[in-house]
Amino acid sequence: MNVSFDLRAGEYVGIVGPNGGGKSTLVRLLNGLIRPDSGRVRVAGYDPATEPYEVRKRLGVLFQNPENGFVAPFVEDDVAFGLENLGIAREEMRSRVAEAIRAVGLAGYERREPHTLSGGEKQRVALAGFLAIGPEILVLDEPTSMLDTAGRREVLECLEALRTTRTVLHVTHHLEELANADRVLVLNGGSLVADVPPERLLSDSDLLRENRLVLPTVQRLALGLGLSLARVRTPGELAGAVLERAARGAGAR
Amino acid sequence: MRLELKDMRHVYARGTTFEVEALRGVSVTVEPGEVLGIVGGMGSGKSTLVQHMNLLLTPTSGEVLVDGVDATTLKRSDLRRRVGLALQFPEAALFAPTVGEDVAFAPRRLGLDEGEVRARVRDSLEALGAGHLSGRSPFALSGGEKRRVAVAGVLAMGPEVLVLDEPTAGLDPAMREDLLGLIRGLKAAGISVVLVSHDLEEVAEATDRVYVMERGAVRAVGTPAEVFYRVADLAPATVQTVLALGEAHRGVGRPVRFRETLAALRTVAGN
Repeated sequence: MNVSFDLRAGEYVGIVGPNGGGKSTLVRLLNGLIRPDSGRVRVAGYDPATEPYEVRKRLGVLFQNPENGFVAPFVEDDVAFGLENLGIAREEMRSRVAEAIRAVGLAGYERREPHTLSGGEKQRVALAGFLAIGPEILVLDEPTSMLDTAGRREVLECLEALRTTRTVLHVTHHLEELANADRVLVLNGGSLVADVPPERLLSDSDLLRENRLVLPTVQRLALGLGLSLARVRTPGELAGAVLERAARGAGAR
Repeated sequence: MRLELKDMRHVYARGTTFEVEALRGVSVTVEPGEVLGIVGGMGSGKSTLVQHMNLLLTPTSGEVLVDGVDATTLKRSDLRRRVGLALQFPEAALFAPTVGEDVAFAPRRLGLDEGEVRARVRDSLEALGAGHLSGRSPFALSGGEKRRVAVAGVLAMGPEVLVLDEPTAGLDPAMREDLLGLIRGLKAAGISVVLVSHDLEEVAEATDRVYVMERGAVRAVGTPAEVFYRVADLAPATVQTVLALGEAHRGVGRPVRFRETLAALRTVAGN
């Protein structure tokens, strides 16, 4: 892999590309799970390879599988786990945990056992664990790919609310999740092959095909009907555009 | 092969404080040559259910019938060959120094001659679009390549029913297209496929019938059109779009697959 890019504070950046393109490698380089053979990674000025603990206070990674991260018998203990290792005072910890659980919409779940939660709820608990530590940068590594439809919607709504106050790097295979991103990086064969706004990516059929990216169903239907992708993002909007065209056609006749 | 699961119950960790009733009396039939979808939320019992199909799990109560014969009376190795199970994340079980050796491992244990083993390895890798990987180490492959190799290993056993548990989870969306091609090929060869997936669009495109699981029971069963137009919270984007047409969708039937839906929307739009 050979990639250079900068992430500015407050940006929301998507990363897409085929399996084997380098997305997961990049995420692991960012939090110091692996070291680069050559080159330099800096997160808020710190090198993840030599100062991983400083980096992990500032950059949290939400991984794909919600089952893998649980360590504690109750939701609130799990959310508190990261803080315990930072040596934070008990009172401060309590209020941070309560606030984080509220921020992901799980108030009332404090004493629930993690194994009784749905997939979407588990991912939100994992997210609350990061919020309690308060990283400036959130890295999302396909956070919805193991979830069912309802779970996906929950997690995306939760992320949408959080992103306004943070820098977010969002790795995904679902292009529709990146509709609101500032820009999207396309990684393929270990190289950065594009750095474009999401609208540009959706409308560039060559770029999509070369990188094994598939448009979401609604967008593919819209293209098949000759409708503008900018106006049609949801099934409801697509249906509306179809009906509008039908009404215009009827008027002309 | 006709595979029937009758009134299956499965209780995990019975008699402990962790006791969970994962299946509460589920009956499912896989008809010969059909592509059957199983959908439902996390924890609804999908994976537990399919792991009974070759008795990898023993039911707490209930019966598995293979062409009407009680599966517990069949030789276990025959049953496992005839009903191939590709578990979730099957790549976790890759172990051999090369891809070819890994895929050959199970068929070789069937006592086939070496020529037949090699033919099966080649055919099943090719069916997964992984023929070119044969000489590589399975540990130096990408996630998508590993998944293909692992599924090829199950296919090389020559199953009559192939069960795929979340075959595209975590893979790029182009893998879905490849999977649909694989399923069409298997169906043409008379092999039944059971597809467990939370990707509703994949299920909508590929399957003849769908079971919807919820909390260890069957919530709905029928053709994709019957199920997805009735259980609105599970509707794929195609069905959601048609439903959002409101009154105007009455005339277009109940399209589910992409091509049918596009044709129906064109009719409504008048072009």
